[in-house]
Order: sequence, then C-alpha cells, then structure tokens
Amino acid sequence: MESKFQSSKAIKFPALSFNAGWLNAVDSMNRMTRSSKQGLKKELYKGTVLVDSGGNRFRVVGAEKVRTLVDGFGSLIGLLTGNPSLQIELTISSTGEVSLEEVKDLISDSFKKKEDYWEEMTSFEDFRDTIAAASSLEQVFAAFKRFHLL
Amino acid sequence: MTRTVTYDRAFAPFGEMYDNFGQTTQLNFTGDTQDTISGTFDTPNRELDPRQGRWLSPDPARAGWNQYAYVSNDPVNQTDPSGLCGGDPFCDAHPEMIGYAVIDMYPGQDGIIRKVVDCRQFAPNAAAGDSSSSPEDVAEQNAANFLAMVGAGSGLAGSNERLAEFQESRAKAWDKIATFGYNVGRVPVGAPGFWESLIPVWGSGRAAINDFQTGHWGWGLVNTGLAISDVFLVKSLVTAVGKVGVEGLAKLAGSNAWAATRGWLAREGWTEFAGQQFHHWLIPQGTWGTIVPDIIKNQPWNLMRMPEGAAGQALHTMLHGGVTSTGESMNLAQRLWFGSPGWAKVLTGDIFLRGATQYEPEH
Repeated sequence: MESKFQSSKAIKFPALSFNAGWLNAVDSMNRMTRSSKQGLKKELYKGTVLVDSGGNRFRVVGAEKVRTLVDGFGSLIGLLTGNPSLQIELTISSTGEVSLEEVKDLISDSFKKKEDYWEEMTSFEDFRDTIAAASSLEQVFAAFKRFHLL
Repeated sequence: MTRTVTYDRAFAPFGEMYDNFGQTTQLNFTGDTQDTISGTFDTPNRELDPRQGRWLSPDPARAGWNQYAYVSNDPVNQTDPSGLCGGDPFCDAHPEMIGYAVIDMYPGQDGIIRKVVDCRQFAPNAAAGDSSSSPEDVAEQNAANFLAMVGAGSGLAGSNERLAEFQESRAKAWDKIATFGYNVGRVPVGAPGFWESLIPVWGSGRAAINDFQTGHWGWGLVNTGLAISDVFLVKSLVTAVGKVGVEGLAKLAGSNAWAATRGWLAREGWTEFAGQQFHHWLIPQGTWGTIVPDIIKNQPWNLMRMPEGAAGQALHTMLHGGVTSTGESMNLAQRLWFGSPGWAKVLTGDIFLRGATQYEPEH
C-alpha cells in the first residue's frame, strides 16, 4: 500500500514521527499503513510530523480507510470493542527540510512531555545524552538503532 | 334456646383466611398456630405462607421434586400439619426415619443405588462403623431393620404398597451393583468446603464432579471451566517463578527508586537489549501511581518487557494511551488485554469464575 504524496519527494526511511508529544521511530512504509477506527474517526493522525533520514520534513494531512484488518486473536478484541485495526492510506504533504537542531528540539520536547513513558526505558539517560551529543542526523538515527527503537 | 356464635374462622385451601371472628386461640388452619405479624402458619418443622401458598423453606425430609410446594399443590384433598414429606401420613408417623429409608419411597434424582446407600445408613449399628461386616451384610441387616419397621401389617396407610416397592427397588439395586460395582452412582463426592474450594484444580474439580453427579449441568460446566483455568494458572505461575527466580518475586534489598531498579534490572539480566522499555502494567509510574510506594510498584511483577524495535515502541506508546504516527490508538479493553501479562489474565479469569461459583446453591 502506497501513500499519496502532495509533493514529488518520497520519505526516506527510517524516519521519526512526532504526534501530540509522542515520538515514534518508523522503520518502513508498512508501519504507515495501519491505524485504528478510533484514530481515523477522531483524526488523530492529523498534524503528525515526519522527519526522515534524508532531513526532509513531512506532515500527515489526511487518511482513508482501505479495509478492516483481522490478524490474530488480539485484533478480535479491537473488533469486539469497537476499535478494529484498519489498513489506511495516508495523504502526506512535504513541508521542506529540517535542521539537526530542530529535530533535537522535537525529540527533547517529547522527552519532557512524556517523561513517565521515557522513564520506563532502562537506559534512558544514556539515550538522551547520545541524542543531545549527536552532531548529525545520521548520529540521531544511529542512536535510535543502538537503543533498539529501530 | 338461643345459641351464640363465639368464634368463626374459615380458610381457603392454601390457608388464606377469609373469615375471622371471636377468640383467636382455637381451630387454626390444619391445627397450626398462626404468626399474627407475618401471617405464616408454624408447623413443627417449617412455616407455611398462605399468601404464596408455599412453604418458606424446603422439606426437611427432602421428599418430592418441589420441596416448597404445599401438599404437591393439591390442598383441596390433602393437608400437611407437620410440614414434613408433603403431608404423607407414613412419614409423619415415623419422623425418626427422615433422611433415611423414607426418602427411598420417593422418586429421587440418584436412582436406585441411592436407596441401597440410604438403607445402609438406616441401621444404627452400621453407622457406628462395624468394620467386620461386608457391605452386603450391612445392607441386608439394614434392609431387615427397615422391613421390621415399615413392613406389611404395620397398619399404616399404604405400607403394603411401600413394602412391595422397596423390595422391588432393592432387587434392582443388587443387579446394578453386580454389574457396575459399589462405586457406580453410589453417592455424590460432595461439594468442597470453602477452603478446599480455593485449592487450584482440586477444589473446582471436585465441585464439577459433584455438580455432574447431582445433575447440575450448568454449574458443572462453570466449575469445569474453572478447573481448566486453574491448570493454566498453575502452569503460568510455575513458569513465572521459574523465569523470575525467587529473588525476582520481590526486589526488597537496596533502593527501590526507579533509577536504582533499572540498574538492578540490567545487572540481574532482566533486560534483553540496550534501551529496553519496561511498562508498569498495573500500577503506573506517574498519575495515580505516584502515591504508591516504590517498594510496591517497582517490582518485577509490575513490569512488563516491551518488544524490540519500532513495533515494540509503538505498542508501548499505545499502552500509555498515546498515538502512533498514523493515529493508531487503543481503547481501554485493548490496553488491558495487550498491557497485562498472561498470568494476570488467567488469574483474573479464574477469580471471576470463582466469584461466580460463590452464588452456586448448595447441593
């Protein structure tokens, strides 16, 4: 499943996504095609900022349901409780390039906003310091790999 | 000559009073006194509610299918002044036999074998435990005692018919014993006591067997489900203890602050890779969890290892109520399911079923 792009630029994976203070590493396009009914209905995807390893910045502006996914017992829980997993097609818009400092600020912002979540990472301080010390975008992504977030 | 009516009282068939005049101490319904406040009639063995037309408690002699029905719902032709055996005159005349052979004279769920067992119980000597006698000897002796008491010529209504019925059923019982042995359909294993019922597998298994033996199929299935979930519970607990080790059940030594606990997790080999995330699945680190002492919440039982990579991070995000890049999120049911260890799910199901069985009537 491909996403629709409102620019000629394609995302160069891996990438980082920032959504309502949550920071998630995205390893492939496959991860960008799965959502939930609740997420689609409340448009929780809107405003997601993506920063790819090529230094490009994107924004998710729309999503459409392709089909309902039923893969395993876990997905039945969602189906029975009104929040099934969906295969979706995102509309992504390119918003230019991003600097290393901007990426670091976005990451740091997530560390602050979701402190309880990040604190549950066993070597969080090391990870935070590595990000802070990174001198290039490659080093930022390398830190995510080293700490097994990618 | 002038006559004066000093009292007059009349009852409908089930005891509902429709005329009441004069002194109240004489000639009550079937001779039983009436509670003036509750309106129930007090027989020697139980109370009859005339408004409902039924007994307030089951027949102490366990006679008949509906042990709450007053004289088998035939009050026009029968009365039951004693409250025993549905008003049966034979039973009334022999209250000492209640619970033993008299029960045999009524169709019972347990069938023929039950009659033999009850007959054995009937003999006082056998009840004292005469180990020198074989079961057959005891049964014969009991039968002789029984026949001497209720046999033909006792003058009680219907006693000849009862004797014939008893002899016929006894013969059938011996045939059945000869075919299947003594352990077939003899008596139910009995419901476990409260503490016994808490023993995994054993308690629920015994309750299930008792349910099936007494014909309570629904409860039998519930208890069978409980016994099966007990098996999984024991298995997962044993596995967890094996994995965690005794020292991992409670990290009591040293500081229990989260930073110290993370170090302990790494040192003790709990972390599988650098950067592993541990989700506090039951008592969170933040929000309301801040009021819970570290020594309780920062323990291995409250920590759930998150998988490696982007998928693991996305799962952890959603368990915290967060959203992924595509807006994917979980509702409460999904968070409970995906955010709790297997042993906790089995334990919860087990507790739920065990709670349900507390409403099981005694049988």
